[in-house]
Amino acid sequence: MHDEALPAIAPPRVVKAGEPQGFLRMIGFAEAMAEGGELAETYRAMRSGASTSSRPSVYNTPGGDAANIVRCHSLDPEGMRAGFGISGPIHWSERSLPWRLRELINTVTSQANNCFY
Amino acid sequence: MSAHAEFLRVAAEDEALAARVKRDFRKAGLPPHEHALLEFVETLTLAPWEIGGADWNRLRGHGWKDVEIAHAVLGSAHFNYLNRMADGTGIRFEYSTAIETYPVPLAERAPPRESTTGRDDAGFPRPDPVAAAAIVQDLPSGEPAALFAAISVNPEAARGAAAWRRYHLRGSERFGERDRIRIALYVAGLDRCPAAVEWLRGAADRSGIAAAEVATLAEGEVPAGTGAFDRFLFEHARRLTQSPWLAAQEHVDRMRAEGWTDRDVLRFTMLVAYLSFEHRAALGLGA
Repeated sequence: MHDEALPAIAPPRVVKAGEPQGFLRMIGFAEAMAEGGELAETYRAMRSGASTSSRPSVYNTPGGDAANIVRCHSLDPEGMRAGFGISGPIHWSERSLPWRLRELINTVTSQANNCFY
Repeated sequence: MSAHAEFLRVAAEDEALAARVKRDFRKAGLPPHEHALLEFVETLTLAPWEIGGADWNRLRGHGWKDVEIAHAVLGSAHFNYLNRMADGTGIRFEYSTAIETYPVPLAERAPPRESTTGRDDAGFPRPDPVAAAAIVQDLPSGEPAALFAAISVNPEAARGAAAWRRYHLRGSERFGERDRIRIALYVAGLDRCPAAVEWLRGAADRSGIAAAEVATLAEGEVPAGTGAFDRFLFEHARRLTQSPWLAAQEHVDRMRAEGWTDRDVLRFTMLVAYLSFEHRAALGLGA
């Protein structure tokens, strides 16, 4: 399955002040609101959505901006809506598994992918 | 470190459990039925082509209902998308956590199971015909009805997945529909998802992709004569598919050097990441 030379341990990428927060340009909530347009509407809708508004506060970022996993989609608001539009029905609906079980699944999935997220 | 281990800590109200799971779920002292479900999730992530009906029967034996197993598949499949987006775009970890960092040495990770008898389909759930029909009837022709019928256990998720797929196979200025289908066929080959290959045949034919090229791509192979930059794109798709943690700034810079904007790079990353969801949903649900 893996045909590249693999490092022994994947290094985590941690935010440091002044450093870019990803490989690509990302537009946060405040900047999007200032500019208006499709991204602003998308952020607004995501924040006011039923699944978002009921989400536990542990998911809020320290600075109050959209999480990096959301912001990394910001150059493509339609893609953001498509990728996260399915998140509510799967993870945060009445059909969803209990929160503890979902986070067990998420953690094991991320570990298997050697992903910090 | 792991964002979702931190969220697990809060969800479970148990920091010690979250730390143990983060280190190694097999040694976390979980009850047998949860251990079995997480083994299923790990296989779905690492080797989704290995999931068979026997795995569903095994989970049923532990008391899991079909709707619960289906949501474990959909949840993990969606997380496979998010993991590839996180690593493909190189985002930084912005949460604080009380849980100690436990690096995961790749060499110690449990290897994918080797199939000895081939994938068996008996044991996969059958979609509820009424729910499936309600989803399928709204699909444009040529779309994979079997995939969305399988997801119809959650109708909103099925509709969302259909719109999501449609978006990612739609051509953009930089990367047209034909190029997207070629990448999709290649990744379907890497993920050993023959159903996904079949679903793409009609679109491949309409896009003028020759049958021989379809066959090569469906094996997870790059066709001979592929130009240097296109070969790089296939290599990057392979990287994002099989070892997303190896995605680096240099790969983005390579695309930028070719005149790609950050939005172009993002759309390519999103396409490959979406395919990791689709193939795991298909293979995990038996579509």
